[in-house]
Amino acid sequence: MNYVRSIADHGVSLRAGAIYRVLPPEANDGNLLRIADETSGEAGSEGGYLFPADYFEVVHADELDMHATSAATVHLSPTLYGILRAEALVANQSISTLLRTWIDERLDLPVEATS
Amino acid sequence: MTFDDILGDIEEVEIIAKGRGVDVRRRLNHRYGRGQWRKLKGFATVQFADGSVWYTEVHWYEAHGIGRVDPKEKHRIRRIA
Repeated sequence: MNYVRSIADHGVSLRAGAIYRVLPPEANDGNLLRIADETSGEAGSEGGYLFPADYFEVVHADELDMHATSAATVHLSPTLYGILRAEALVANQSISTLLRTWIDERLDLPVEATS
Repeated sequence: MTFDDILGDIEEVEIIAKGRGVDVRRRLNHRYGRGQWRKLKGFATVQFADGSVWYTEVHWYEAHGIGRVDPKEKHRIRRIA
């Protein structure tokens, strides 16, 4: 289980419906999940925080096949955009397709269980 | 966890972030009211819903006039009961 979705808001640390990365457990974590929450990057947040597992639902592999309706905007220097476009040309893909490929390679996304 | 789960006082309290170091200060302002937020850590004896009692490192946020909010477990150090 690498990613979970928060079922409800919890203070400022978890937002309902948001997906969070599950971090490797430490000694004494027990059945709690160690989560990189909304405060990640803040002092003291390294290594995540412990939350009950029932705060979350598992993100399933079949959700990745849902129609793409969310977009991310990335601002790049003209040179970097040019390099990205050059790589897309080499790969004979659109920039969007190339980035989705790189995302798939980079992230440890959920996979369907094989029977 | 909530502050009601903490048995006794929080020990070895220290400020770990304040002002611009509190990345979630806008969300804290929106949820709890505008304040000069600080992030603190300490160690406390905490009783959990399953009846277990642990000596635990906890983190929370605090602002003058608002008080302490959003306690979270960082590490369970040793089990007491």
